Amino acid sequence: MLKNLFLGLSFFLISSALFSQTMKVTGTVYDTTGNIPLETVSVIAVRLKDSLLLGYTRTNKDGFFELSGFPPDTFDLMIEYPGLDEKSYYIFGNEVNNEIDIPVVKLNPKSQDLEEVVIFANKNPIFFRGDTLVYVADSFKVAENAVVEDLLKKLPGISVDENGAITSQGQDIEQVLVDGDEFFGSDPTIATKNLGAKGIETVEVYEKEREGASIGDDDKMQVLDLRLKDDAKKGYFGKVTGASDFALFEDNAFYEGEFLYNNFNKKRKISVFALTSNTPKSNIGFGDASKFGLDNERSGKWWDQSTPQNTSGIPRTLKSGVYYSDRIGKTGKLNFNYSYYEEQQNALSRSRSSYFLEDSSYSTVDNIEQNDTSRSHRINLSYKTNLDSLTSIEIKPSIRFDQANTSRLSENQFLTSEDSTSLATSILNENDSKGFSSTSEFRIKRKFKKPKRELKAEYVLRTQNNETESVLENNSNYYLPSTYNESTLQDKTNLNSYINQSSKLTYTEPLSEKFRLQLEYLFQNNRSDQQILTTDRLNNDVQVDDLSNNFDNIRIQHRGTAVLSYEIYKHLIQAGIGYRNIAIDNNNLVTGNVTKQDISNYLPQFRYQYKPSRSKRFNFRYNTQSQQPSINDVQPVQDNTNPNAIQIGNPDLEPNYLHSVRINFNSWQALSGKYIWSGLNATYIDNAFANATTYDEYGRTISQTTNVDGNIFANLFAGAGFPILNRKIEFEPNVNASYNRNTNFISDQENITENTSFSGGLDIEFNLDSLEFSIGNNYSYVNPKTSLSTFANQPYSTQQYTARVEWRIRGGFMLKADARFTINSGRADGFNNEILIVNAELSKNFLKTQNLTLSVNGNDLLNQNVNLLRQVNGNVITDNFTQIISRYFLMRLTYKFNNNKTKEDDYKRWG
Amino acid sequence: MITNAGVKSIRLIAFFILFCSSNLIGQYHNYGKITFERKTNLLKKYKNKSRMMRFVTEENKIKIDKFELLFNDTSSAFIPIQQVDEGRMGWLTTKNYYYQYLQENRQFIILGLFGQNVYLKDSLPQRKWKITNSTRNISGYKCRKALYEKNDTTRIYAWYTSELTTSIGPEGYCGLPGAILGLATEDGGIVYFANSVEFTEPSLEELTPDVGKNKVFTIKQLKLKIEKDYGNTPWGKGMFDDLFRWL
Repeated sequence: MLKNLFLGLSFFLISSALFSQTMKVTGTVYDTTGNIPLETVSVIAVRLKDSLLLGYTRTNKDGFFELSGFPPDTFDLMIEYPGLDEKSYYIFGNEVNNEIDIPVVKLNPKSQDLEEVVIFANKNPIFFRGDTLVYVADSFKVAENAVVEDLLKKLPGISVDENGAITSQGQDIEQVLVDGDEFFGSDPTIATKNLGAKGIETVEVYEKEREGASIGDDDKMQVLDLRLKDDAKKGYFGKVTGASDFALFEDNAFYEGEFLYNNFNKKRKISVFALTSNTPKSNIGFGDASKFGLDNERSGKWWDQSTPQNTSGIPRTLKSGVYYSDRIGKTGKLNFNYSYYEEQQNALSRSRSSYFLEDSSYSTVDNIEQNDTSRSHRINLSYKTNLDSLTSIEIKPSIRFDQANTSRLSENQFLTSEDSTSLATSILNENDSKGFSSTSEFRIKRKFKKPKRELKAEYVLRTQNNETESVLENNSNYYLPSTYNESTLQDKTNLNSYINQSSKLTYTEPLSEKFRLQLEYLFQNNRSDQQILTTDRLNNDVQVDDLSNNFDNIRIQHRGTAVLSYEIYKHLIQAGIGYRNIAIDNNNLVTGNVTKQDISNYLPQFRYQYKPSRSKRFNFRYNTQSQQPSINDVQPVQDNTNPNAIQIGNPDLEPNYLHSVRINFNSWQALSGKYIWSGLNATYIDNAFANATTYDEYGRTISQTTNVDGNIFANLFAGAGFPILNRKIEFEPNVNASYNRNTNFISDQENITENTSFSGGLDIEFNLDSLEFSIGNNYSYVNPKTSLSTFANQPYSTQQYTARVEWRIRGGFMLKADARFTINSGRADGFNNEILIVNAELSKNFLKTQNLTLSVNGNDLLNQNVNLLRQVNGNVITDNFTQIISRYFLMRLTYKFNNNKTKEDDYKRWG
Repeated sequence: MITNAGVKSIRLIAFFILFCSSNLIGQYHNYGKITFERKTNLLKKYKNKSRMMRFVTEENKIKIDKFELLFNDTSSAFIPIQQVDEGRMGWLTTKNYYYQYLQENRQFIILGLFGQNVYLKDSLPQRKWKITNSTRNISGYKCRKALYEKNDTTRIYAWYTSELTTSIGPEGYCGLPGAILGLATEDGGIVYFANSVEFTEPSLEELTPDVGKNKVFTIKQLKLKIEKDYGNTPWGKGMFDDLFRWL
């Protein structure tokens, strides 16, 4: 800030006849006395017109300097030595006068003169508010479409140069803010050249703390703050899509429609959405949900932007809703959302199951037709605010109303091992349910002056009330050993309700730089009620006692946990232990039977993490956990919803106890693009919930849940990517191996099922400029083994080949296609299929903004799509086939828009 | 415009400079160790990058990293100091190494690219500096503010002192008439300031990088490679900007 001591223009000219391109300045520097030469004095040349540093040097021990090597120009020669006043010479160099010598430079003692300070004062429309200079924007006339820069040029005392740099009363403006924020990034001209002058309320100039600057008092910088009128920072964007096949190929037209709209201003955001379809597209994609702020509509994964597909039947979907968010006060944030879902689904499925018992085997063939309709209203509200700089609270209530109708007709055939029909049944279930549920969350977080110390308290209340009215109609035709018929026609009313309260208190204390202690206390109080009333229509609507019940389940849990963390450089070690006690009362309100359980467990945990670098990570985690059975598993009354497979609860069922180990290793080399990922997940469960099933002579079952020890789930996986040719081609191999062991009981005999499976594959991706394509294959092999019978021990396999292409053709055209070929083998007759599915889309963008897209989609061009699934569970092998939507075509028109009439970009997943 | 408060602070600075300078008359140094503290405003750095912003809160938005700059009259080494508990915030900022040899006009740079070291060898940077009249005191040294316009939208500020005579600085910044004790991006989002200056002479080993048998790029070669490999993704552009922010 000290002004150069002006000595005026003093230069000494040594005329030179020689033509030269560069400057040369020489001189000798002395101390205040003028006698002692000064060594290492800094001599620098700064060009006057733009302050460019032209050159610098130091004096030698004789006080002599020579500065040269830059073209002749007008420059300031600054000579500087600590403790003495600096000296400045203005030198007008040119091609003739380019050698200058200053024989004696005498440095004077420090001057204490300060630059005179002028304070600029004005009447309206310019005034001071404290230290802030305020201009009222509307008082200065600008043209109709003027931007902020045009306005600034009109303001007295403010000047804008050709590059957009701003000075106020001669001082540089270092930052341009919009409403106190760096709204448009660090380049001030983005704000001044793009914001309309009409939107500005006032222009304010003040000094601001330089953020991040730490030392000395020069931490202030001059900023210009544009205060917007309330209506200036606002806009909208949206998207409309419609698609149909115009019933050209089927009797009923396929259709999809989607509307998304977001309107925002400085504080408030409103989004509305609507979606309707009768294709597998039944959700809003992750990208659109993120872009429009539809937090509760997000489905799928952020890394996969394709829309999740509904693959279990023929659906019809209608979804619609509104999202509102607003800032209240300085830190308050309010969110409100209402969504309505109406979904309908018709599914036809066929399955064949084989049951292997010790001495015999059965098969069943099931044909099921299911029609589901559901409606749901959901309201979510949340409010978050900071009470003070250290305390924040969050309140989050949400409620939903659900209504559903289900009708399920199931035709079953029971076959003996000789494949003759012993029993044929037809079961019709019709359900009509209504429900109300709510979740209310309260959270408070308190930080302390000491960094990393934290106290959190949480209370969550969950309630549900559900009522289901159902009708069961069952006709059984017995063929063996003798022929007769049996019918059931029952009405059921099922009332389910629960109130769960959970409170949690967490405290974190940093013991030292490396050690941290976390303490947690959890208290849960859960109460569930179930009332079932079954009446028999064939018997004057009399109550069926052994199918009716009134049952209560009360669980009170206390859990305390302490975790100690040690973190140093790249290592993190965490060890902790929890202790919990759970008291469970199962009350049978009809019989007055009470089953009490009082269970205490230690729950240890351990974690080690090693991160040698940002792109390499090793993680080991051991955890223990205990899960409680659902009320359906404990209530002691038969559930004959499926009279061929009756379920009965077990009030003596204990919570399970899980040990789980997860090991992960990931590594990525940014320069070559190589990466690997690998890991192991293993879970060992004691007191696992398992089925104990008894079979009658036809193969019908009664199952009860019971506790077993020693179930295991283990999975080992690894994969990698190897790019070559500047990542134009990338190889991506992967392998997976898994082992599951679980126990169940079949007619009181223990049966252990072990499934071992291996899979492996290779994908190859090609990335060319306008063309991307990939091919891949995957082979999986499953070897199931059961201890009770060897009939089920038949390995089966699946092979899959995939190909995908995306080609951007000139003129806004784009072609996308993908194909998947699946070969199933080793299954039951009729389920060994080869399936080839091909999808393709051709699209073209229109308009200058490319915002209008017309496309033709063909889904499953070869009409081969089926849903095939094999499950091996205990002694049962089931092959299941579900009819789903196969071939359909759509012509789709998409229009995206915004208030700026510019190209509207899709959500960038890495944004 | 300078306000009353401004006048006071100017007087204070002037007094401070006077006080410090008077003790330092004639004390030039051409070797030593400068310790830098870098403050990164993560809110600014990762603005508009919602994925990153999930980690960053109002409380932890200022990330502090420390560096050492060892130098003698012709060579320098700029080295990050490892911190004990960076945790997951560690990778939000870059930690690069610079070894510079002024007489031979060459430098070695080791950049951290997602944890992988990338080795660069090049000549010393030639930057056009603009010198301002603004001065400030950093760690007891009077520093003059200079400005480097990297491109049309990026300006970098440096505060150098003529009392440390070697032309060096953090992040390989050099070419000013003295050591740079302060370096900042224009928006103040990333600032380096010297915390302390000690006059210990560095050893030859300390001023020599361990390049091993790794592939060595020039700055231009690496820029081309990264731009080609990652330039077409939005996050790749962010990474590119971060990697070459100071080059």
